[in-house]
Amino acid sequence: MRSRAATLLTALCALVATGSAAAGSGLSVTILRSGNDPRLLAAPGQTVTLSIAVSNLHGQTDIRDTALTVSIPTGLVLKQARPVPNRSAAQRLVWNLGTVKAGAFAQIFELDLQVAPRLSRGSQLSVLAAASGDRSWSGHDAVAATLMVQDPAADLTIESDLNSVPFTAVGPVDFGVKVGNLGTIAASATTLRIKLPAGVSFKSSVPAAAQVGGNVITWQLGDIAPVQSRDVIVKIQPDRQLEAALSHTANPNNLARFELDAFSPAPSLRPTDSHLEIARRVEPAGANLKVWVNVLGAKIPGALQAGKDVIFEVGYGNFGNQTASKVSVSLGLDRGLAMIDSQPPVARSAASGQFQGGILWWEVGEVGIGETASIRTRVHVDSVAETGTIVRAAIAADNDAGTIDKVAWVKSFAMRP
Amino acid sequence: MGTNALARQAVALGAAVLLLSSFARAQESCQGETWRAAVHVESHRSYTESPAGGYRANGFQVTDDTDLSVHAVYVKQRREGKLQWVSRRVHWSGVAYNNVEGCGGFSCETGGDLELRPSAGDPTWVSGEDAARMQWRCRRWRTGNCFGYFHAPESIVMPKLVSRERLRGGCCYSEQHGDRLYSVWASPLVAEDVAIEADPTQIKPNRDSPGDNRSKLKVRVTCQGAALEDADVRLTVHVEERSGGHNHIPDRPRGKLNGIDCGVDSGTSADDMLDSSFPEEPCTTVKTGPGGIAEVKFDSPLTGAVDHARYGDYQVGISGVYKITAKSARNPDRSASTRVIAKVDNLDRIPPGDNYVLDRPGEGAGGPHPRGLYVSAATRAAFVKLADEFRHYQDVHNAALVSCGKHPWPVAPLSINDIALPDGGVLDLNSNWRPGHQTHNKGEGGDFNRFGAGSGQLSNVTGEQCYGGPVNIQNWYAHTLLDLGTFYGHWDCTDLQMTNSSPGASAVTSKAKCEAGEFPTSYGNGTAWFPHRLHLHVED
Repeated sequence: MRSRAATLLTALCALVATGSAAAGSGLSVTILRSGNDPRLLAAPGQTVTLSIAVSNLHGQTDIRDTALTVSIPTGLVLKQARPVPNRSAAQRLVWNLGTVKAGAFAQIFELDLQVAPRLSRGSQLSVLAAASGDRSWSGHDAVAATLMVQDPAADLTIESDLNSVPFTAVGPVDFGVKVGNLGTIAASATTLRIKLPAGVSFKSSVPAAAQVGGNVITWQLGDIAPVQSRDVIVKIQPDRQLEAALSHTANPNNLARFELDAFSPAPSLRPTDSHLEIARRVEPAGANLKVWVNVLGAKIPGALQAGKDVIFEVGYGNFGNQTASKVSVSLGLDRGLAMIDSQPPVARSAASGQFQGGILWWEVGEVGIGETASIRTRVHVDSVAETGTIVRAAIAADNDAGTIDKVAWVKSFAMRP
Repeated sequence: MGTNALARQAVALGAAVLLLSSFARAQESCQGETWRAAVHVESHRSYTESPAGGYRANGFQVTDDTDLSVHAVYVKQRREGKLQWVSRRVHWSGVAYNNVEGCGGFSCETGGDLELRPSAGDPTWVSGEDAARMQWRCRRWRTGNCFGYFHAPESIVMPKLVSRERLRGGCCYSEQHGDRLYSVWASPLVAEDVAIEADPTQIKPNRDSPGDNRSKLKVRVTCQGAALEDADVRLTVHVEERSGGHNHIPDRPRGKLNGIDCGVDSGTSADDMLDSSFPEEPCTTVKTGPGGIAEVKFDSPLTGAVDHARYGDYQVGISGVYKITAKSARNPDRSASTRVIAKVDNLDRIPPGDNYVLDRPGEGAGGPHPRGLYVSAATRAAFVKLADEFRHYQDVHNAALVSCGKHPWPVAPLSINDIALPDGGVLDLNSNWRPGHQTHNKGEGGDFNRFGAGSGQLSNVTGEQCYGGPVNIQNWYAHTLLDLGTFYGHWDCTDLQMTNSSPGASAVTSKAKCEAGEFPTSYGNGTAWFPHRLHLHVED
């Protein structure tokens, strides 16, 4: 049964390999660190498991007399190899693989390796794996995995989306904090502390805070293993007077400043990683549409030539914190200007006493956060007003909360010699 | 704006008038006159009010704050034998806060800038459409029962002019009534017009070759169409919040003008601000030359990092929308703006697929980079084929397992993580505008998750084989993916800080080998990030 299955397997694989888009290149050797922490990073005395694979997945021919040779550097002690190698001597392990069929899937070999106890931080330990056979091939015949030795310490890190969530006075502000550990040992009894600025009150969190003392809130996060993290979701409320004070000032110092820190009694690799400061202004809740006008192909800014065509590019974007809905863009053309065409096409147009070349409208629907787009309108210039010809774009939406750059214009005079 | 700020502004405007006087002598061709009129209202009141209706025995405690500024510039010239207001421009800004305890309140803001049509008559005439734009935007709340009790913010109207006879020294007039300051300045000079154009209006965020991230700006200063040479123009740059796929706001670089670093933005730009107590310093000042034109180079910001691709090195930049404003030094109320967009063209979001899943933490939410699955057409095609092939090999493998009486393994779809932002440029994992995540700048490759490694999933799950002992299936998936991926690109070993560039690195672990796509993995000396992912370079 086993033999039949193996035959079927290799035959199927050979079929697949033949049909592969890429040409076969023979044996492939790959190395990974096995387990929940895939980093090639370990402290002295720690044991890591390397997973080494040999395959002939894309190979179009069988490769006979195949062997995998793994060289282990001084500083790493082999605790166990699975399967047991055919030969081993002086930190060198050899497995005889026999014939590796064309299309063969990965054969996996695992090594438990212990880092010598007295190695210093920064030491690099390269494990070299090489496959050999009865013919040469290019490509992945030999690879190495280099283990970096690091101190036995935790390395707490803090990330937060407080730098990007809408920071508005309308309703509470929810933000997330992720406390991670990039060290080599667990960060025991980890504490998260957030200091809120004046005018911002703490409402609630998940998990619940361990202590709320004025504007300082702390959480007990327990032990955090290497490459693991804990998430805290925090709800706060900026007060209305903070909005009035911080949302309309150019004073660069007038920002709401938050401080986030994580602590653990465990030795710390880089204490600065566990401190984060974020400064925000209070912003209006809603979209913030802006519009601008570029004149394409004009040789001289602010000048138009009668008898020529020109393209007005109306750019627009939403730089607020909500998707803008039911967005409409308009372009008013002064007397002496006539639209030729537009991309995208105009939805509607109307005569106007103020813009005698007509007002054009586009219904652009939704504009997502941070999204921009443009409308290009080709216009023939019949004449240019002596007091200047004005082309004015405007944008509007149902939920626009911004106040500036809703209107943009270019004023052009007749081109003079 | 405080009283001192008002005083500073009055002094600044007075100085501008003096400058205008000297300018008038030099520009006799600009015959005409400019009138400036401004109204500033600044009130901060707290009082008790007892409106009719007997809502509350002791009255309501009212807090009422208003800070409103309306500034108009009217330019008068003789046209066709008649004096006309040939240019009328108004700028207004303000905030209003009102709270009636136990009743309700409002928080309002307003702001804008309009060039109105010429007028042969009243300079303060405003069309209905323009009047509709000069309104407050308010948010109201109600905290109690006081039906019919209503407060509203100050109306926004065009400032009137005074007769010439009332001007002191032929130039100036002001009056203050309580918290309202009204002022008029007149000048025998036509205020100039400023125009600015960018070429191109779209640039690349990354610099493969000189000039990729550069737009050439032309600024022109005219006096009713006549070119003005030797005019000083102040230039500022701001970057629009949340543009370029970056939702994170603080400390965002603005780029450079003529090689001068214009600093960073941290929230609503000063350009958008209403508080003139903190006038913005220009990034640079240029002087117009022949034709009234000054040329300026804008470079969108680079991170300082160099990325290595098979086709060569390139500098990594920041996508976004950059607003460049030119203001007359003599008349700061005469200005023009343009915007330059830094983006990588032709990136589209990778669509859902049969044999892959999109598993990118933060995608679609309000995090720092809510859209990070944008990809070029060629890389998208490679990912789809790789996913199909990865699935196909698992099906073949499972068929073999079944034929030898073993249980098939669960099918693992290819799991795609970060690719690129919608407009490309740096995908800064640490939200600090510096690379924390190299090689994600153009959508030419992307990350694959490691079948649960790092998240605790599948780490100890084993699968039976037809021969040999059971194996860790998470590792089997990863090894198989690594093997197949080399037919579509090369795996990255610098992205996750795995480059070994130390002297004496062996031939196999050298930086050159790593960058060439070899898959020996070793860490550099930086922070070892979670390598949950495997980055496949397809085009780069």
